Amino acid sequence: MITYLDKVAVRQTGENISITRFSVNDMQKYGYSDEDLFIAWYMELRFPGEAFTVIDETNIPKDQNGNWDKAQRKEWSLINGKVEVDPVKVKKKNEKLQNRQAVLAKLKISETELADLLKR
Amino acid sequence: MGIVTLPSFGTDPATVNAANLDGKVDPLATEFNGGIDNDNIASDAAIANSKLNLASISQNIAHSGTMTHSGVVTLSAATTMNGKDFTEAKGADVASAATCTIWVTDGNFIHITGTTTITSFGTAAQAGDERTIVFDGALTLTHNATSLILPTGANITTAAGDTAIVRAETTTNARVIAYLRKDGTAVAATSITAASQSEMEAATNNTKTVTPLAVNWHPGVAKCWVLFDGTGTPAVTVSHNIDSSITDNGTGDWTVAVTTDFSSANWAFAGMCNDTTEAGFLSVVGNPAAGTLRIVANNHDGVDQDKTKVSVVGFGDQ
Repeated sequence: MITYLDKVAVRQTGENISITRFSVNDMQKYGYSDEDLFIAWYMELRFPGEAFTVIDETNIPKDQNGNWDKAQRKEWSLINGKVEVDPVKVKKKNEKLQNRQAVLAKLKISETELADLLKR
Repeated sequence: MGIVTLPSFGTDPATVNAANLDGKVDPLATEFNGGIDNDNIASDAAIANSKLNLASISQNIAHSGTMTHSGVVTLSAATTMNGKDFTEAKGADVASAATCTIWVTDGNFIHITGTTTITSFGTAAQAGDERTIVFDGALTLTHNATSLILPTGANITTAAGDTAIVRAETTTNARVIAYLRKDGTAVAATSITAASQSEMEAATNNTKTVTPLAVNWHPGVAKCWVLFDGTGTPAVTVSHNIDSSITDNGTGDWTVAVTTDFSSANWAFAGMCNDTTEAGFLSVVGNPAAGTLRIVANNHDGVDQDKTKVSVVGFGDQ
């Protein structure tokens, strides 16, 4: 039975963010009893030199079952100590989608037809 | 013959001469040259050894009392104990020596004292002789395929309290038919040594044994593996030598960490993924590090996608 800590470490990796969950099992396995010390040591061990922010796991978007709601995972950002759907990224995504649809309209083909073309 | 009755020479005075004396004695002599009836032997009669030739007794002897005999009794027929035990004797301790004579005559059960290496148990009275031995000290019993046959075919280092049963194969050759350690275990067939990490990694040794720890060092064994659910809140389901702490880098994008790192970044990995609706493809992002591997799952259209079952296996040197 694996039990996870209530804290996660968030790193900015280009446009995306990476979130590391920490298990109590690992904390004990590596001989730590203090969560913050363990997280700091672990992040330096696995991602040396990279900056990270520790936040409560509750500050990640959740679905109705309490699991991470990753429907808009690509638009997540760390905003004010919380992982949220970033409006800027959503806007960029929508613009990109609109451009795509405009191109398809000019070509007079659908998404399905484009997919078929790409498979050839 | 019944009760011996001395012959009468007649009314006194009788004349005894050679002729009538012979006539009276000869029948008696003739009678005693044959058998002696029990009623002719006094109850307290003592028969000298020289007058009782047991070698000539061939019939069965039935005896229900105690027989005490200080000489050698040789039985050439089967000996049957009828509802009685056979009580043996414990002999005096025997000091260990190169030739340690256990075929002592004061008992079948003996202790061997001292720590001198034993190469022979000496000369037995005859083949088949048996002794039960207790070793009082640590010494070496030296195996010899002919003269001192040990159960394992190898030397035995005794410990105080170990026991053995020895039979004489011949008068000069002995076989230890049973050897029991003090803790109740039998002597091991062979002395087994666990293979070291370097021996496991070389994978060439054919005489040493593999322990649960050492098996992981063999190059043909997976050094790490993991199955995790990458959907929703990512979580490790089962794993070996993979941290259950897991990093979600994005949709269908994770980093797993090896608990005991590989010795370098050059290790082989394999992985698969799936969910309940469609298959997936797993690939590695960049080069793996000695202790981490970043993997990406795609659906059949090549789009990054979280999967419910993501598995990775790693082989290499640690």
